[in-house]
Amino acid sequence: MKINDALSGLVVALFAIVLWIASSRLPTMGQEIGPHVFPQALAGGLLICALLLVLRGLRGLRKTRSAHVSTFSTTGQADQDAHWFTLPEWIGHRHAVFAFLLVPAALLFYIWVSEPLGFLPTAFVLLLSLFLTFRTRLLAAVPTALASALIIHTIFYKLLKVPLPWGILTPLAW
Amino acid sequence: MFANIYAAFGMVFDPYVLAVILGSSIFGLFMGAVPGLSATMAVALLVPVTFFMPPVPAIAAMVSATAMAIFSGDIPGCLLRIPGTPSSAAYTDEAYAMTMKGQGEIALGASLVFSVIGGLFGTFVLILAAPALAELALKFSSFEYFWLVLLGLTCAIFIASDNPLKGFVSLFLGMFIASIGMGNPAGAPRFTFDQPDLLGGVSLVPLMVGMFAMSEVLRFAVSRDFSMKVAENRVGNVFKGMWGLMVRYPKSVLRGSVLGTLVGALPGAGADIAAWMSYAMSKKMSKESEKFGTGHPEGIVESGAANNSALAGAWIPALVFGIPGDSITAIVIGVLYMKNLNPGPMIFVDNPVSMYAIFLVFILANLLMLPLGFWCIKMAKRILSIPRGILMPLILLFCIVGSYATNNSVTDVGIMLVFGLLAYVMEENGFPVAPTVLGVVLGGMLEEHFVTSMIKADGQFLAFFERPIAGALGVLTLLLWLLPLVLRLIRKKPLAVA
Repeated sequence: MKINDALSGLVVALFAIVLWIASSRLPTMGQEIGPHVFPQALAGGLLICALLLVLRGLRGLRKTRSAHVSTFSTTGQADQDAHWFTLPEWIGHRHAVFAFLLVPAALLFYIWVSEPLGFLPTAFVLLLSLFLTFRTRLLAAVPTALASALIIHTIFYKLLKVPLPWGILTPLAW
Repeated sequence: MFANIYAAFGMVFDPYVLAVILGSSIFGLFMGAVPGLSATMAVALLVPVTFFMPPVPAIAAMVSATAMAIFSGDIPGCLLRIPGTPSSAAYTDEAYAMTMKGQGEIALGASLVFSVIGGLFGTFVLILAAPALAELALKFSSFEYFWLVLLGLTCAIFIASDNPLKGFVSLFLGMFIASIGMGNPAGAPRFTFDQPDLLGGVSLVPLMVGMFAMSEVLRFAVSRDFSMKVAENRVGNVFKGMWGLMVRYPKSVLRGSVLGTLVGALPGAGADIAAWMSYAMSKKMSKESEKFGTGHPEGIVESGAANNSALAGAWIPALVFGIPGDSITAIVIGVLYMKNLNPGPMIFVDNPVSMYAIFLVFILANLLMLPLGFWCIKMAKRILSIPRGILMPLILLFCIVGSYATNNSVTDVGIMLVFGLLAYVMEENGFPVAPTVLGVVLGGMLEEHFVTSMIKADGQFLAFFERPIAGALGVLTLLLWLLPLVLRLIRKKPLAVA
C-alpha cells in the first residue's frame, strides 16, 4: 500500500504530538534534564519532518493534477504522487493476498498454539501451509516440513538448549 | 603486545572457533548466493545463534558470514542477472554481459579474487587505523561523543538514502524505540504501557530479525515469482587469467580498495554504496570507458574489491566509537554489547586479546574465501535451483525460533511480527529501514551523552562547542544539516531564470 507523502506526513505529525504529550507526563524525578527531554526533542524533530512531508505531498498532488507535468520525474513516481494512496498491484490477485496474509497469520498461530500444541506439531503445520501456498507439491512439502521441523528443533533444543515447548508430545520428549 | 597476539592465535585456532568460522562461511556463501537473501539478513539470522556463544566465536561467525555473502552475491548476478545482495547490484549488468559473451569464468574469477584482495586491504587498514584512532578517542568526553554520534547518524541519512527527509523520520522512529523502557539516565520507565515485558526495552534481536528478514519473506509472498531459471553455463577454472587482470588494472584494484574502505568507514554507508561509487569512479577514470556495460572486467575488478573492503572499513568506527558504519555493524554492535564487549576506545585497553582475535578472524575469513568461493561457484547451479518457495518458510520459522530463543518467550515473536510488518510498510513507502535500526542501537548512547553533557554544562547549550574537537564536530554536523537547504537555493536560481 503506497500512501501519499501528505498522508504519511499527517500520520507522523499525529504520532509526534502524542509523543510530546506522553513525554510531558513522565515523572521529572527532580532533575532539570529529566527523562522527558530526549523524547520531546525527538517529537520536535518528527514534527518538522512531518510538516515538510505534508508540504511535499501536497505539492506533488497539485503538480501532477495540473495536466502538463511529468517532464522530469519518472512515470512511477508521478503516478504515485497523483493519488492520495495507491493499492499495491498484487491486491487483485487472490493468491498473492492470501500468501501475504498467511505470513502474519502463521506468526499469530505460533504465538497462540506453540505452548499447548508443542513446537514440533506447530512448526510442521506452519511450514506445510506455507510450502503449499508457495506452490510446492504436496509430495515434496510433507517430508520437507517434517525434516526441517526436526532439524530446527535439534539445532535449538539440543545444541543451543532453548527450551522449546513439547506440548502434546511431552510423553515422547527426547 | 606479542603475548596478546599469541593469546589471540590460541583463541582463534581453537577447533570450536574454526568450526564456527567454517560453518558460518558456508551459511554466508549460501545466503549471498540466493537472491532475496542478503548479507544483512545473514547476520540478523545469526544473532540468535551467536547469543549462545562466547564473544570471539560469535564475532567470528558474523565476520566470516558477511565477507562470504558479499562475494557470493556476485554469483547470481553473473549467471542470472539478479544480484544476490544489494552490494553486487552495481556491476550485475556488466558481469551478465560477460557471461553472455562466454566470459562468465573471468567475471566470476575476478569477483572472487578481487573480493579477497579488497577484503584483505580493508582488514589491513582496520588493523592499523583502529588502535591509532582509539588512542585519540581516549581523550574524548561526552561532548565529543554526542557530536560524533549525531554526525554518524547524519551521514547515515544523507549518504545512504535518496530521500533524507524520510530517512530522518526513520531515524527518529528508531530513537523513539530506543527510549522505550527503563534504560535511560534517569531510570524512569517510559512508554511501557505498564507492560512488564517492555521495562527492559524492546528486545533488539526480534526487532532486527523482523525488520531485515521477515519483511523480506512478506515481499516474497506477494512477488508471485516462486521459481527461477538458471542460465545454462559451464564454469571451468575461474582462477585462469586473474594474474593478467591484476597486472593490467593495478590502479583499479588499489583505487577500489581505498575508496571502499573509506566509504565503509563513513558511518551509515555500506558495501552497496561503496560498489556503486567505485563502479562510477572506475568508468570515469578508465581509458576504455566506452567498453563499460558491454562485458568489460575493469569495473568488476574495482567495485568487487570495493564492496569487500567496505565491509572491513565499517568496523573501524564500530569498534573505536561504537558507531556503526552500516546496518551490518549496527547489528554487530548490538551483539558486542550483549557480550559485554562494549565498543569504544577502551576496548583496545580492556580486551586487546579479543581485538587481535577479531583481526585474525578477518584475515582468516578472507583467505578462506578462495577455496570456499571456488567451491561455491562450482555448486552455484544447485544452490540457485533450490526453490525459494521452500527457503522462505524455513527462514520464517528460523526467525520465529531465533526471536523466541533470546528470552524464551513468545512476546518476542510478537515484537518480530510488529517490526516485520512495520518495515514492510515503511519500505513500500520509501522510508529506509537501516536508519531505524541505527537509531535503535545509537539512541540510548546519544541520550546518555546528551544528558551527561547538559548536566556538566549546567544547561548551557553553548558548552557543546567549547572544546576544540567537539566544536569542530558540532560545526561540521550543523553544516551537513544546512547543506541541502543551501544547495536547493543555489539550484533554484538558474531554474527560475530558465
